[in-house]
Amino acid sequence: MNVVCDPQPNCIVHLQVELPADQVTREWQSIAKDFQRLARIPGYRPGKAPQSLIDTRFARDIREELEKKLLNESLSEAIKQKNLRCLSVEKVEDVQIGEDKTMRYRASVITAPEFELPDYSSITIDLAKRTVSDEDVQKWLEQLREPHATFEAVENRPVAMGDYAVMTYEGKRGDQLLSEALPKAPAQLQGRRNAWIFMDEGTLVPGFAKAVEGMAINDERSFTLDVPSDFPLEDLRGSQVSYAVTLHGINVKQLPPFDDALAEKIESGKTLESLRTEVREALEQMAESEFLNGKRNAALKQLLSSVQCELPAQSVQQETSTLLREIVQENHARGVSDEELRANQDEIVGIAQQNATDRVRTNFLLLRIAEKENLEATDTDMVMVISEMARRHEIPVKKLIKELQARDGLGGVRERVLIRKALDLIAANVTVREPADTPAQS
Amino acid sequence: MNEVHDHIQTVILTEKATLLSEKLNKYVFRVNPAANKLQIKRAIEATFKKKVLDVNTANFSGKKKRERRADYGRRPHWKKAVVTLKPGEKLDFV
Repeated sequence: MNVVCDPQPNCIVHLQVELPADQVTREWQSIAKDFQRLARIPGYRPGKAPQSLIDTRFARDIREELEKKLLNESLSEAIKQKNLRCLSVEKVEDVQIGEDKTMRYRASVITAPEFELPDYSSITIDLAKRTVSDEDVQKWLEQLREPHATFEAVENRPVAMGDYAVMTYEGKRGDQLLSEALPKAPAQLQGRRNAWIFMDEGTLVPGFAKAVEGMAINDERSFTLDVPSDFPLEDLRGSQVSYAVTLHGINVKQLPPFDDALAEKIESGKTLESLRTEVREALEQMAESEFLNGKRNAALKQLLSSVQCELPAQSVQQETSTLLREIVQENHARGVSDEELRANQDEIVGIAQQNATDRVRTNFLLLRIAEKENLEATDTDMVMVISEMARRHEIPVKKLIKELQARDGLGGVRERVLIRKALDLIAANVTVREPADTPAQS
Repeated sequence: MNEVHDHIQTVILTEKATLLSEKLNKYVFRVNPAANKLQIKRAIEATFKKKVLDVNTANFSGKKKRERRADYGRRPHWKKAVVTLKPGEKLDFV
């Protein structure tokens, strides 16, 4: 087999392959024999028609079969012969079987980028490990106390900032009710009956709480507010809004005392001390995993800075699409509208492209390290990763395995295992130094 | 009818005919029932430019055919010619 290799930009390699006549003839005869065995031709019993007749009658079918078989076999052999790290075959074209029974074709394959592997066995990074202080634990416990708060009605004083005011209010722009002028605006801006409003500067329109402050129960008050130019609702920006408010009640939030009873409420069977210990352990675990991630990221960053190579455009494009999908999903989940996303489209695409480039480069680097270290994805590793994926997507493991098998996704899982193992290997060899100028933060 | 091309109707390609051509250099044709051996020989020699050694013929009656109804017809009567070529001469029909 004669193979001519012609490297192109963007990790594409053009291959010109020529197969010798004897190989093509041998394959042709073997395929023709299969046809002969099964062909039903008038005048002949099945399997008894002469080969010359089969060759003539089924020439097109035999040729198709031959191309399929020889292309598959010869292309992988050619890739092996030229020591190419093939990612995918982009196209095969110009397939010719000559009169002399030689076969020629051109193929474009996308290869993994070639680069010199940096030294990953002795990486030194500066990283401080976060220590968990008593204040951190206390802050966490405060957050746990919040959902168990109670509200106490206050009647002997006017409403103040920090209270929960129960009120009926209605907003107007000019003479028109906000519910009519801006039907799509959130209901809490338009006006509500007996609504609980937290008295804070940022509540509703800026200045609303300040204007309500000092009202006593059953008081009525009307006021006009200037909507700032950076207000989230575009239609209201720069306009004047007036509100008519009737105060029905004042509530004050009461946090329960920190004691064993509260700990029991938060998690049954716990005392305050055991809850404190548990929170501390969880925070320490978080700090540890944060440290590990920081170590891995810093080591990777250092390695990547010494790897400069051209990346296959197709891989980057694919990764960019995946990232864009993730970004859009994440933003939708956070309540960001399509219009806002469209307004920042260029910026989002730019970020996705940059991240995709980094991710693809990282993956190639880690896969090369895995190859050099002869790391292998065992069945146990594969099952662990698949179970993790199944848990994340909330589908049964068996169903996920079937789906992966159906769309050739097991190779991707294998790559993921290898990448993880390579990352662990790098992290295990990293020397961490305490940064000189920044002391360990709490 | 006297044209040489009118005598030979088609070549018969069957397992038996293939065996005859491979082993005995004999080729089987369906010919005009009115053609005699000499005419067949001349027609083969003129058409294929090969030397004919011998011609054997056989007449076949057309099969009776009917489709449900009582009145039936039949396929045409036909003639088969087995032509032996001179050693070294070959015909390739496939």
